[in-house]
Amino acid sequence: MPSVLDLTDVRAGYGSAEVLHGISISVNEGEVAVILGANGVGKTTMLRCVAGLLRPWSGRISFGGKVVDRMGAEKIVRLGLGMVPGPPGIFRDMSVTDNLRVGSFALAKGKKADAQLERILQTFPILNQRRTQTAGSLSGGEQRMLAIARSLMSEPTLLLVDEPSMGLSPAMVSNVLRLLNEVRKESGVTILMAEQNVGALDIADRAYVIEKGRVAREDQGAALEQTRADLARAYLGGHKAVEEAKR
Amino acid sequence: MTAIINGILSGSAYSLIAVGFVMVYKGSRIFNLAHAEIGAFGLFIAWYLQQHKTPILIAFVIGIIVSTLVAIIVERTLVRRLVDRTPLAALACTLGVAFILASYEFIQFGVNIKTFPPPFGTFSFNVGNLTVTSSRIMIFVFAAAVAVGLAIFLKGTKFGLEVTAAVSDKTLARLSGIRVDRTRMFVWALAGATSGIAAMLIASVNTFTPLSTTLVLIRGLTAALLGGLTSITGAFVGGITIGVVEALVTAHTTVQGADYTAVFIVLLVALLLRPQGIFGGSEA
Amino acid sequence: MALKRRRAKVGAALIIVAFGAVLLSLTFTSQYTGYVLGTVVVTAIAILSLNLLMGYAGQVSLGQAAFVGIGAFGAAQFATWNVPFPLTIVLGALLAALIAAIVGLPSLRIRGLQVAATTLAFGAVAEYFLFARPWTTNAGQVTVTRPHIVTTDKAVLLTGLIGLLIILIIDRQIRHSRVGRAFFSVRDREDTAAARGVKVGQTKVQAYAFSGFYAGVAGGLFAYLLQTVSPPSFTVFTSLGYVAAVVIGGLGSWSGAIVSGAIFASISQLLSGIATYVPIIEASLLTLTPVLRPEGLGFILNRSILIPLPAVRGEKSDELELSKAIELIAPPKRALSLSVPTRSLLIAKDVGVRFGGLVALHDVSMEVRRGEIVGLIGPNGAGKSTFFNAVGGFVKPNTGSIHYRGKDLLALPTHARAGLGIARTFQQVGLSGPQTVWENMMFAQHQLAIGYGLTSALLSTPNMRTVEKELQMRARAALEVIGLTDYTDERVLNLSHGNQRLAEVAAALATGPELLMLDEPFAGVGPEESEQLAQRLTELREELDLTILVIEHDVPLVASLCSYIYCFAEGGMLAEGSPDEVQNNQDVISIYIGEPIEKEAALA
Repeated sequence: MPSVLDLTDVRAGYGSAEVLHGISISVNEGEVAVILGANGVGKTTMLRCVAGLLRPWSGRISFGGKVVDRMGAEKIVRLGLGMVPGPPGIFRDMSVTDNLRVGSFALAKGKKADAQLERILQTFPILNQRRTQTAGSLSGGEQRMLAIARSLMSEPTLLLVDEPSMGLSPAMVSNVLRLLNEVRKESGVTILMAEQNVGALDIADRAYVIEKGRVAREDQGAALEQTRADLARAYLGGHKAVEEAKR
Repeated sequence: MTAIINGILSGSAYSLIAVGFVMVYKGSRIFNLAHAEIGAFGLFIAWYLQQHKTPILIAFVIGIIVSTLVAIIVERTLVRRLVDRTPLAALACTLGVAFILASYEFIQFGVNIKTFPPPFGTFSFNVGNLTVTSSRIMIFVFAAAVAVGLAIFLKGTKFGLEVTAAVSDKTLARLSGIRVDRTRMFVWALAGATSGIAAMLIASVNTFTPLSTTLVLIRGLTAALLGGLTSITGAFVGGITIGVVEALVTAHTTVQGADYTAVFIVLLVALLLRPQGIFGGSEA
Repeated sequence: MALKRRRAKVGAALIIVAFGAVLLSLTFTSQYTGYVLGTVVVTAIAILSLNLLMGYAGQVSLGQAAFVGIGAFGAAQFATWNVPFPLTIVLGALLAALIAAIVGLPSLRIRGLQVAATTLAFGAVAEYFLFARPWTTNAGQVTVTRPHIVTTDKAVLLTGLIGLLIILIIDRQIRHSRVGRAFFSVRDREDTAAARGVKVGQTKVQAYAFSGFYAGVAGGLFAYLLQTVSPPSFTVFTSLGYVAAVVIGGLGSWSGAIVSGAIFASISQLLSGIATYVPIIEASLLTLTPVLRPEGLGFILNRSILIPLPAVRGEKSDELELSKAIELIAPPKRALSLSVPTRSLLIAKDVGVRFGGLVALHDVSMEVRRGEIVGLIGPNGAGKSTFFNAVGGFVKPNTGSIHYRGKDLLALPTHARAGLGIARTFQQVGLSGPQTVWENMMFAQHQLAIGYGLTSALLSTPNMRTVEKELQMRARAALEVIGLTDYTDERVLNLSHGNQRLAEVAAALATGPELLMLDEPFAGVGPEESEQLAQRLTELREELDLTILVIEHDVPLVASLCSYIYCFAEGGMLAEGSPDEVQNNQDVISIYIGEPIEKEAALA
């Protein structure tokens, strides 16, 4: 499988503080890749670099064969990248429909925005019900749904998702992860997801564990089970947690 | 009553300023104290050209172009850098721009009273015992058109959606492919153009000097505040309201300055009762 | 630090020498020079008034000339009523203060930018109506007769210098007292000011009043200098010119304000040839300052040896012994009232908070016992900070009750809760960035400074000095206990993130609390520093007899630090118990580890 996204030795930070100390990862077409790590290790920073919101200090990022590390987000998005930022990830004072319409601005020429809008609303029945409501009045879970829907409006080939589970109940988290999995299967979009919640491993083909701005380990396929257990220990520390994780 | 009609007509001039001001605020979150002065600058250039044998219509168009250019220059050089500063900093900066423009007008064109001919000719007719010139009607029509046009533009078109998105969440807007800086520049250019047209139309009805702009700005700001700072319709209604209040007061008393005081009191009371303005939502 | 202290002393000495030199030179110079210097002094005072309002308190006034004019016309009017000389100026200033306070009232309800427009409108009203007084015959002009003691321009200048000196002293007293600290808090962190006991509305009005007073003094002096008072001296443009001067001088820098005002006033007077170009130069500086150098001239001046820095006092003895420091800030031993179960400090029952349709908290019950370190864990958005806000008074619960030492917290307004013995830190560091660590430490104890009032502050009464001394001792003690004494004079925004968090904890400790509520104190702090902080907290719990409530994400860290943990989820209490119980609780585990999902499952 060809790789859709490659990061090579990327360093980045804010002000004088370096947050990413030389990250190298690679995501293949159609994969779900998960970046796992606790608060503050650099997951969001990495996604922001890929999306063109933050310029890396050094290193290379290539997306679909093109070098994009010096490109701004507005341009990268039109190359087929989509991002669901952290909460709220929506335009609070605009309606659900308007939120989705804004998502269609990056749609390739020739594609009809209206048709796409209807298609997305069919995929997200809850949003269809609330299409005229103001986005800010939706519940936390519905807002995350809207954020994902908005990013899908432009039919991206690579979708970045920043902590889809944040602020959601375990049931909602399952819903969201299941939804992302379905989207991947139906449209073949590649997904790169940053998460704290170890449950994300259930839909992952590949996982990178980040600690303090560096890749600590990389696993694929069957090895992900062990990753789960190790992370459980790191996160909670209780013996039962680790047992649970080994299921 | 003739005073009310008079008030509506003169109030529409304030509406024009207020609507442009609110547009800039909605489109960039900047309290642009230089809004009226940018238009006045275009006016002075047009006046100068017209004094030197340029046909009035050409001078008019050039005036619009100049105002638009000044607005674009201000946006590109200053406003872009102010976006993450405190509101007080942006306020001081735009005040400085207004000062620069006014001082230049002062030095270059002198302080004596000037007149500007109506760009589209003029005729007048009588309503009761009030003589109304076509120029004043033009201002009203133009103000209404701009208000309606802008309101539709912001709500209904793709560009309007871009503007709203860019101000609502800059990062998310960028992730939707919106070029936020360019969007903001268009808003300022549009505001500059309307300010230029406003200045020239108002000047065709009243005499003017480099010092007149500030007084017009004050009323425009008051109108915008009354309307709620984020509502174009509100700004329009606010301007008319102020015009009517002023006209009623001057009709009933010859005390100088009473009109200013009445408007100020109206503003104070309105804001204390309803801080978000007549039409303002909770967002303001 | 010692270098700064020395520079401050040298700076103060130089200012005194400068004053003396000016006074001496007066005997040799002409009346005209006296007149020019007089206008310079008057302008300087007017700009100081704006420096207080905009620079210290962060409020806006685009119509300041109106207040200067009120002072001028007021003094003139009082003079015609045969009120004796200096009193006319004082009364005029008081009148201006009153009007300014009224004009400033909208700032209680509307935001700063909008107040800019109302003050601008008021400036126009003053110029065209109040001063023009169209009901009088002579275009609003008033003549002022100088009294016997002050007949020449130079004599008025002397009076002006005395006035300037008095204003500077008042200004300094304000800056170094609870009054000024309240202003700065409203300017920098209006959101957290109330938590420290600041009555925000009252503070804003106070700022307008003081600003009006200064302006009125300037006006009164102006009246005597010019001997005729007429509307064209107090136009909207004059007001805007003041704004330019104060921004260029640097908002908050009194020395910058004086220098900037002096420069522009004297240039217009002396060099009439280039006078026409002064506005453009001034305007350009006004435009560029916010963009390039927001601190204005103050930036240059504060770096130089000429101007004194805010003094750090109370460091006569060099080191404060740690044990002594601990004694100073340990909370007073208070007997628990009989109506309260002896061990519980904080009891929350069924607390619920809704924001419109969103339920932020529901049925939250918690009990915090004396001497415990209690942890709050749970995902982001689960309601932990909302709970803190409910205890602190930033959010009003719709249901339930919260009692502290048996007292019903919900019955008290925010600023009244500050004195109860609870101190808290905020998720985003709740200190004032532009202020130094020391200034923040002093401000943190605001509630304890209620021992003296406004007049005491202005007059530096023994009572005020005793209270301030105590605050200083406690501030030093807290810094000593946390270990941040090296950063005392450093601006908070220049500290590393970890040190900012430490500084905030120190500020909380300075108030001598019983209950310390920490909102994510380890956020953004590296692992070694986190361990150190955790260690220190445990020690402090012993040394200071503290009870600690801490919100934190790092579960193993919380487990090692706390004796009891509450786990939040979706606004409710998911689980509670000892660290071991919570770590092995099934629900908690699923929150952090997640439920297994079938890869092939159909979309719900």
